[in-house]
Amino acid sequence: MKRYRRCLLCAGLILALLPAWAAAQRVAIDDLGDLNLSFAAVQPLDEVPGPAVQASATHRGGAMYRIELPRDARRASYLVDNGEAVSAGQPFVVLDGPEIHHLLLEYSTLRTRYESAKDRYERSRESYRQQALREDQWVEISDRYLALQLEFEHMRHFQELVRETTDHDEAITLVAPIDGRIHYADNRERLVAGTELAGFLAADALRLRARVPMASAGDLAALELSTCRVAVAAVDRVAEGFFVTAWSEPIPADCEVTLNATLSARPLYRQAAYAVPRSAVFTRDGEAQVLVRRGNALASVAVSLLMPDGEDYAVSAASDLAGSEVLVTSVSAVQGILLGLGGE
Amino acid sequence: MLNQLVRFSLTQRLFVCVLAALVVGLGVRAWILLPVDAYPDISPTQVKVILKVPGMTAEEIEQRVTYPVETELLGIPRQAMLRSTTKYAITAITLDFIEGTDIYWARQQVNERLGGLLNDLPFAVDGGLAPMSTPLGEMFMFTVENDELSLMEKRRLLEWEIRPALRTVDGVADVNVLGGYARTFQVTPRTAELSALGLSMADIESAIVGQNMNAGTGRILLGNDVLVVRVEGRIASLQSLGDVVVRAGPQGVYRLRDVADVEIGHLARYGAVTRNGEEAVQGLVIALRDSNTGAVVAGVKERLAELENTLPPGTQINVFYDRARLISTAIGTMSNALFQAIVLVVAVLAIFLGNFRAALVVSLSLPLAALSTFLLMSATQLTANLMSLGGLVIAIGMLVDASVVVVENTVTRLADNRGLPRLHLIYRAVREVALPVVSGTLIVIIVFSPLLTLSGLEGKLFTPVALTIVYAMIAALLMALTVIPVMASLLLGNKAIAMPRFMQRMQQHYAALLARVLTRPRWLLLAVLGLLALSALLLTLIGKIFMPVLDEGDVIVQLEKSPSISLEASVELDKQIEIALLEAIPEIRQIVSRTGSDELGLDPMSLNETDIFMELAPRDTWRMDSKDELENAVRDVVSRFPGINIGFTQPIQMRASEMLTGSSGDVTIKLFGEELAQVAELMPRIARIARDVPGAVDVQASVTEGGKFLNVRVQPELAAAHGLSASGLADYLKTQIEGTTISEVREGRQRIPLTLASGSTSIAAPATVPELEQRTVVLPDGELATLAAIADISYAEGPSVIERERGSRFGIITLNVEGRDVVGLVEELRGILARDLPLPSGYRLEYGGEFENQQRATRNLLLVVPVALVLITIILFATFRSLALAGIILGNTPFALMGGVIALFVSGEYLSVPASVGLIALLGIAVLNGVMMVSYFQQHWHMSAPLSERIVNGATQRLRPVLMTATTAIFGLLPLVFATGPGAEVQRPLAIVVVGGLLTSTVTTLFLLPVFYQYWGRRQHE
Repeated sequence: MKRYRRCLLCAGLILALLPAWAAAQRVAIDDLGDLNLSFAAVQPLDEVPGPAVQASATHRGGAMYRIELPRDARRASYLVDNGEAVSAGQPFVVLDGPEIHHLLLEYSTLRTRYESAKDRYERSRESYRQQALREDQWVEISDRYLALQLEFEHMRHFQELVRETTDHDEAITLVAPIDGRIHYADNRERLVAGTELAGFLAADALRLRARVPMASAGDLAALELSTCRVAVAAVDRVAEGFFVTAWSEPIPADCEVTLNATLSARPLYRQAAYAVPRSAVFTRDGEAQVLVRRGNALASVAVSLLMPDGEDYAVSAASDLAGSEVLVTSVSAVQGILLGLGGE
Repeated sequence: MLNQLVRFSLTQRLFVCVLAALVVGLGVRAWILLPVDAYPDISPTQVKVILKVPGMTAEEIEQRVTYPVETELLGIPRQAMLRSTTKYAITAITLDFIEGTDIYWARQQVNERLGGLLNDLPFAVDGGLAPMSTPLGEMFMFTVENDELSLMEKRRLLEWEIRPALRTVDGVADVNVLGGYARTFQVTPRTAELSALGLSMADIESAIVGQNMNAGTGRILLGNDVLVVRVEGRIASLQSLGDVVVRAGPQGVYRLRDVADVEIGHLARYGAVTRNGEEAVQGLVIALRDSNTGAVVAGVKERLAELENTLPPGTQINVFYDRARLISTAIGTMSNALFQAIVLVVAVLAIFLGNFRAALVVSLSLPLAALSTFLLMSATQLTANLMSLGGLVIAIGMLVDASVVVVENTVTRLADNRGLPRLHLIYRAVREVALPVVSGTLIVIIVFSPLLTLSGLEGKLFTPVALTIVYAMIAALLMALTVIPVMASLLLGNKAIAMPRFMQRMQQHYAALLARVLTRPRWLLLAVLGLLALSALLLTLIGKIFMPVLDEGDVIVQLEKSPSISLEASVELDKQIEIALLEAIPEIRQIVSRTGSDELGLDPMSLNETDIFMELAPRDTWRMDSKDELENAVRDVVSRFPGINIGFTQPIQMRASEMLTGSSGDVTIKLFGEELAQVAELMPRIARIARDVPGAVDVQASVTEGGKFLNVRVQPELAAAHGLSASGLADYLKTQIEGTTISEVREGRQRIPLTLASGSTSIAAPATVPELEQRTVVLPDGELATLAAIADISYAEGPSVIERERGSRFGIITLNVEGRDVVGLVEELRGILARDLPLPSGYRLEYGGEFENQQRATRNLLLVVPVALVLITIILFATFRSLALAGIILGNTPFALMGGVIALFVSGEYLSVPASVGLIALLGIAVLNGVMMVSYFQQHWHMSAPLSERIVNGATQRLRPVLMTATTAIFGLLPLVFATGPGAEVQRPLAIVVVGGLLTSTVTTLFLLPVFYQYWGRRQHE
């Protein structure tokens, strides 16, 4: 019985002290005198921004449609600027030089040779079926035909991109193979056969690549540029020092991002939080707090500061703050009241 | 010797007249040239050391700077007190030296010790000795106004145009620049670009510093001439700063602008100024120690007027504090009192002497003595101020005493013309009274001599008073023995001067009354003893304060906000309060508030501290009658802004309190103890108890705790792998958070700091801990890492301010006293605290502030006044050759003093140092009158009349001089009793005590003294 009494006494004491403790966390608005009081609504957030990181507009390897020079050229006259958007079939360069002239000749010769080989192959196939042709002869004819076909097809593919230039025998005009942005090779002075002339990147292949701190990469939801927001598609599982590489979804056209551009991007991390104005936050008892309007009083509520977001802070809180109003002016004066200042 | 002096004067009358004319001329010159100030210089020999350690916490600075510096300075001889205040990024150490120490010697000592030590500190400490000024040195304040200019431009104008011009004014120690933004060339490196190029912060810094210089290389011969060759690289503009090459190689040339943002920024702000609700830029002129404040202010104004044409159009210098105004009103109050006193005294003399010529001769001693006093003040480098001029006003009534005695006797002797030559008669008349006159003057000088031994603030204040009185009395004595006899010989006629009729009647009534009293003295004795008991009772009821507060005509409200407040939030609250005050109280002309620390660090306030300075409209336009009412109105307005501590003070009062006690407030309670957390826990409890004591207002416990820090600890393994050290990381983060000045750019005569910083807006600096954790750091090897990856970040708490006195930490509680005496309040509070708040061992309370001064003054006076009494007794004994007669005269003095006590009680004034000085003066006058009376009785001792008849005859003969001495003294002081201007409040208690005391002292001298003498006489006869 005695023990119960003691428990009851303790409980009573706690109950008696609770309102006092709660009162210490609250300040009646009527007690705030002439202090200038204005409030702002707390906005819920799904994502929390992190410190800006460097990002580049690029593509994941292999997405570039590359064109190599088939023959040495003496001169190249570029018809579109590097990085410009082109559509399939749009001329982009005029190549000039004897080798280029030879290319055209070579192509017409090859076609003739290929057509004659094809004709011979067609005819020989019938003869071979009727066993009018020996085995070794048939093999030689078909091998020759297939080799020429391969050579011709190879050349034809390139030739599809070629438009003859009428006013100049030794020049050809190349056209874009696909819709996308053109990216000329770095060394455009070296017009040697086999070197890359230009690449074409389809609009949906341009992505943001950013190095983000490894510790927080798991929650990365999007990268935010000054012009738009791009969702994150993947995060590499390979670390580079203290960072990992994140890839965005293809960059929408309205982002107006140029290929290979270095950009400042804000990583947005998946986290339920609230946006409160910076001027609403103060520290007390070693933790950040905001003053939430509860009826005719202000209640001091502890929050965890996550990240600054312009004039706001992204914060998390144990209690639901969505839709609440927080004090944004004269906050330090109320902080003073809670500290026991004034009162004269 | 005295006879020879009188004889010489009378035989060389022309010479004496020429000498008198010379004294007048030199006296007038001295009056014009005397340095003028409101107060005497009350500062001790004080040396202040201000050290700035940017970015360091209070506790760390205390351990690493304050403590070693204090230890070193403690060894300096002749020091009276060593105090320090350590706050975030700054420590101010104050050394008070014992009285009389040469300030230049003291500064040299401190400088020597400091010089050796500062080089040994393991990090950069900025600062050193503060300018050689006094707390009263802040004598001219203004803001720079121009709607067309930004705060940064206004600050540039003040710092680089106005300040250099004002610093050349004679007597200006420095010009403090407050508020606004100090312009910088700001470089904000982009970490990703740096990393891509493999550059570190150090590379950027060395590229800039290496470029930003012009170097002389020597001379080359050019035929018969030489040509100087120099290398020019100095950065002169943002463009040239951006062009600095940071990396050049086969891949190309990279300039600063390629890897960093180059822009105009500003230094981190430690304080701000607002004016009428808007941010402003303030200039504060500090006068050199011992300079002539009046002349310095005039020089500053002249220089500002010259400058006005050279400033951008529309620029105005808005002066909101001008010490010259206070000086002229205070000196005006005293000069008026002096003039009125002279007129009243001359009128009284004319009435009592009943002869215009005699009154004129006596009156001549007043201007002559006053001008001689100015001459002596000038010779002893005493400034003209409230206290020294007040001393002269107090002395006016006593100055004429010697001349009155000389002239009265001369008139009497001339009237008794026995056929001797006129000059010989005058010589005889003067010779007869020369000795009593000298001893009378000596007694007055001895009476005031205890004031010369006062120490501390009261000593500084009342030494000028005592010195002026001594000078004036000596001058008056010399005049009475030299010039006055000469003037008497020239101006007085030979005809007997009949006593005025009213005086004759008074003599008759007095004789009758005295005869009756002498036959039945019991009733008088009973009445007087009753009054004495009453006044003793009243003395216990009268409140005791140290010094009445001088009304400086301005009000400062001190605010203390929550300790962790930011400058922006602090300024925002200040603006609200300023606007509310301006709206509610039209008596306020303008408000200028200062928050946080100043440029020089002379007053290292924290961001949560604000001094609101109010310039008030002329008093005749006020709706209220007194400044107290106005302060209450201000208190009403400010108290509607809760959560802020409020205090009231005035410009000089604030600085004087801070100088003398290290804090401001009528009472300061210091809680000494080593554990700051314990101190912080006890202080609010003490404050709560203090608030409940009646009369305690503005009770404030200074906030020492509340400093919250982030500890960033480098992970040693990772750091070592990348070549990072703790100091390297600290430098890097400082750049990120506050900015580091690495060089400077010259623009004409302007020197603009070149800083590596994280951006010109506060938004660019880290604003949350998670953000700081994710900040990218360029490691020395060019690798990038987040801060969290290479260091552990944790919270720590510590003190925001640490106060120390003689090496011990303490917390401070200040309070002002309203409606009761300070001493009584402290005694009550001390009792309550001793009963209700037992302190842990090692912790103790010390009571200071005005109370401390009061205690010391009382102690000093209690020690010195008895010594003066012994000296007076010796003089009395030497005069009368009788210890009993000396006893009779001294025995009369307590009865004389009771009038002073009653007057004090009736007027509602407190017993203060000036009131005590008044009691001392009263003592002198009572003794003087007693001597006058008893010496006359003694001269008639051998007459063959009955004792009582002899006494009545003698006393009746002395009625006129006794009444004259009393009335001249009373009328001389009446202007001070009724003076209302600033400055009068200090002297008023003194005047009230003397006037009240003279009323009773005259009665006791005229009635009680004869009764005592009768008792003594009867015994002698028996």
